[in-house]
Amino acid sequence: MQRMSITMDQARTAKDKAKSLFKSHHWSATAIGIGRKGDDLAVKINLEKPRIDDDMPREINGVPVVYEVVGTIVARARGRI
Amino acid sequence: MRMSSVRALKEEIASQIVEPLVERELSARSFGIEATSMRRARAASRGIALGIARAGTDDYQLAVRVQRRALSEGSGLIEQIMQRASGEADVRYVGQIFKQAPWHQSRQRPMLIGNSVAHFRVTAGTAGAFLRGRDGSLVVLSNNHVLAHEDKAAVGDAILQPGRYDGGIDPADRVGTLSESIRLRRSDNLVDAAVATVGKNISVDPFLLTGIGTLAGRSATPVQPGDRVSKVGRTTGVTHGIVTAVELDDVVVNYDRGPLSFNQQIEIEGTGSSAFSAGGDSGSLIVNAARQGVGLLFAGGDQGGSNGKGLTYANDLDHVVGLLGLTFPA
Repeated sequence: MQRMSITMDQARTAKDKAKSLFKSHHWSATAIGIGRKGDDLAVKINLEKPRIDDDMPREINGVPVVYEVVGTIVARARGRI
Repeated sequence: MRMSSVRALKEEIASQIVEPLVERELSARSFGIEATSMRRARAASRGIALGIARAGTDDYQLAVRVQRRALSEGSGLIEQIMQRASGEADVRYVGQIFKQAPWHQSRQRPMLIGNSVAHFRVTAGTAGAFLRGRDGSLVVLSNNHVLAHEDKAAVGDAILQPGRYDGGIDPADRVGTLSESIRLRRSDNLVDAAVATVGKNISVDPFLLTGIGTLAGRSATPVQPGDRVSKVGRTTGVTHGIVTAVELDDVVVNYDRGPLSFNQQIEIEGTGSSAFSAGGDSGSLIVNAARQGVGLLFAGGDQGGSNGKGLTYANDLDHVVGLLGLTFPA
């Protein structure tokens, strides 16, 4: 089977839909962007904690959705003196 | 001597000659140490190290390294050691030994990409690049939270190299003054960026990416997931990574003033078993495989990434350059 090739525009459209879904369902994400799944582009959704709801999408318009728990993000200056 | 013989000799001299004599000298205060507990004094002030040095092929001798003149002159210690070792000892006075900070955390002239730099009230971040500002003057690029103290600084404030955390002192280590920063907001930020005008008497090398090569300007094309990138930063030096996501929106980052969110960000994981960045690398320029600038490092975490060492976040360099009116040196 030939691998599906997802364009950047398709990934952007799917990302925007993912943002709308997360907002309307009040699901918590710390970032939503465009990543990879294998050789294909994918929607990447970062979570602070592992709390994936069964209703969270695994694919949007044929674009895979990947989730990653990334914890807390902090500004990268050296700590206070 | 054989290795095993030198090892036995080292143990014998340490227990029978060095320890009794050093304790006797400490009690007599002949090393001039300040009043402190004996436990601490013994731990910190012994001043002599024994080891094993090579004397020739398959031939070894005792290595004696002396840090205090009082031990090598007039105490009789060296004479006793030489006698016990039948003259087969390599004795050297080495003086005090200090922890060696890496070049990127030290004072550096000319200033280099990757050096420690910061506003005089901020601990330390990284000098990302040396570019031309709106008026054509030479500026150093880093983050707002490094050069502008999260909007608490004023234009004209002193910038130090190295940053305060690395021993920088105002005015001795002043290399420039804050000239412009992009204000941080609660949401919809694109960049955490600021520039400082470099003093006319401060030399810089705007092209050298130490350990990577020569900076080749700015990339004309945006990075894609899967692209290989590198950086040189104040804390972790040269690291290599892979872009794991682009055009990330609503990236929530914790600052001293609270959480702020950013759009259109780049996410990177370190290659191998290392993280791509750590605290103090803020402001690092991220370059692609062609050594062209693509991003400005500003945040990170310690979870995630395929090696589990955390992820790093960077502003798209196009936004940084556009908002601050910067041009790369020709």
